[in-house]
Amino acid sequence: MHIFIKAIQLNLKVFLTYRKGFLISIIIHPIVLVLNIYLFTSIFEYNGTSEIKDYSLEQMVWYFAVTIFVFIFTFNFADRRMSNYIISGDLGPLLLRPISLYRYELANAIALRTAGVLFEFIPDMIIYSIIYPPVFLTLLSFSKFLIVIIPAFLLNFLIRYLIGLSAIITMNNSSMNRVTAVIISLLGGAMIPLDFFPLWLQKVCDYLPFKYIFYEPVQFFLNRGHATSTEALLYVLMMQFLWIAGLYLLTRIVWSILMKKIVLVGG
Amino acid sequence: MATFTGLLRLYAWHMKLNVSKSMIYRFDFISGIFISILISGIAPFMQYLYFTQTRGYPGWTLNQILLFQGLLLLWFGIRDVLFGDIRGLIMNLVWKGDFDRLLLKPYSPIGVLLCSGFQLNGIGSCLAGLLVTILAFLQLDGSIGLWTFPLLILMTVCGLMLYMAVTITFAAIVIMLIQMGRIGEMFEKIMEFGTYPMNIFPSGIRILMVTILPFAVWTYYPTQILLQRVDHQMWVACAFSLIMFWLSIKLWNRCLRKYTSAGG
Repeated sequence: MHIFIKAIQLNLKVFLTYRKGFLISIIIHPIVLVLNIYLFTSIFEYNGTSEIKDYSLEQMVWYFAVTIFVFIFTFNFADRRMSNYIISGDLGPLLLRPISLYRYELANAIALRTAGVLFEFIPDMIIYSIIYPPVFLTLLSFSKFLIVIIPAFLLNFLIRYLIGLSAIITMNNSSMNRVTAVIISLLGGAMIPLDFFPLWLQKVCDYLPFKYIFYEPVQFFLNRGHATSTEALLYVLMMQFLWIAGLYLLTRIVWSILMKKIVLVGG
Repeated sequence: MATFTGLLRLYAWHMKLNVSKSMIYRFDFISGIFISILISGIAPFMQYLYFTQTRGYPGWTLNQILLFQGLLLLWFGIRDVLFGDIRGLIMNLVWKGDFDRLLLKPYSPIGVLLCSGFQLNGIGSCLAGLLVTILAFLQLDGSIGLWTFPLLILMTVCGLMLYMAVTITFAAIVIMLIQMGRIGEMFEKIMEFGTYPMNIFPSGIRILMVTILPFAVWTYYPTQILLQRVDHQMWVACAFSLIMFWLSIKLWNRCLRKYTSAGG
């Protein structure tokens, strides 16, 4: 626990040292909101409808705003960091530390996201709500979003960490990282709501972990469809924890296989 | 003229260096090209989903928007191949204090920076863009007139000038503020306005997109040229691209005079 707190403190210090970066991010994110307001107002007007795929205009605009929030809560660099350790030769010293690489990376990811939530999510939420009030949001739906976003973070971390382990074989895994980011975004519903996918693809997404990182948390925030019920919350949590358990087991197996084969140089 | 030729030679040298560096991690390089081609297909797929589930954008059919997407991918590819890595390079140089070395080189620092961005990975997006553009154009039964290619070349040149202006402005801000990790993101988000057809925005934004931020030269006007729907505002956007380039050089020179070194 001590190392987690230290890592969080370190990241907060870095964040506060470069305050201008924080101020810039407050300017950046509303640009996306404004872009989406214009875009979807135009599409809704042209379609002459108040709902598209059961999303109202407000929900559609906020859908993409909330995907940014999900990024803020769940994003981490575990995959890229692992590759950097291999290329720079820093993996050797890291393996000699009294903390496992997995826990070290997890601590870093938590620290990074704590700063992100404090300095990006909270100001963004306030600014977005002023620009385009989320009329659909209730305290309950917001609470549900916060409940499911924590396992979503763990899921994203485990996927990134697993991809990061591939660097032990390929050394530079930047193309793997790119394809993983795109798959998570596309099949998770960050690029376009999954409701737009053909039914067969939606069914495929049901059996993959990605929708539990983006789509489901966004649904709880938007307070729409199945996400209004408690059963849905329990089901999503169950699926998230099943995936977390499965992926954690997989990381242990892959790690133990790779550690038998690894040859370290550099440093 | 001698300076320009020298910069071209420098650019060619950087190209060779980038190809050699990419070949060190061969698996990553080869898979990267295939992956970028695959990833490039996602944006047209998303537009296809929008258009099959809704009425789409006003004034655009599915094939027209696929043509727009193809040209957008092609533009991204050209941009990434020619200037892909420049923003990261500038930030690294300034943070580490290595930027000062550029001040001692025989060419202007911004010239050297603009010659250092070649990135072979962008070729995947170029190929995918070309394929989508040709397929969509054939679907539309479009015709090519006498002025089509000259106008497309003009748009490409203006687009590159505008992108250089954006990059030079970015570099000027970085050398002044030193550590601004999210400036790149801000630039990307603003440039996102250029990834949608201009006519879906309200008139205020449309005026911005042909004057102060003439992003319409990147994809919107090349698409309109192929669809033979060009209007006089295209010339305004071209003129403003050149003006923005000139202004960015002025800004760079002013910031460079105030630069006091950092990092190390």
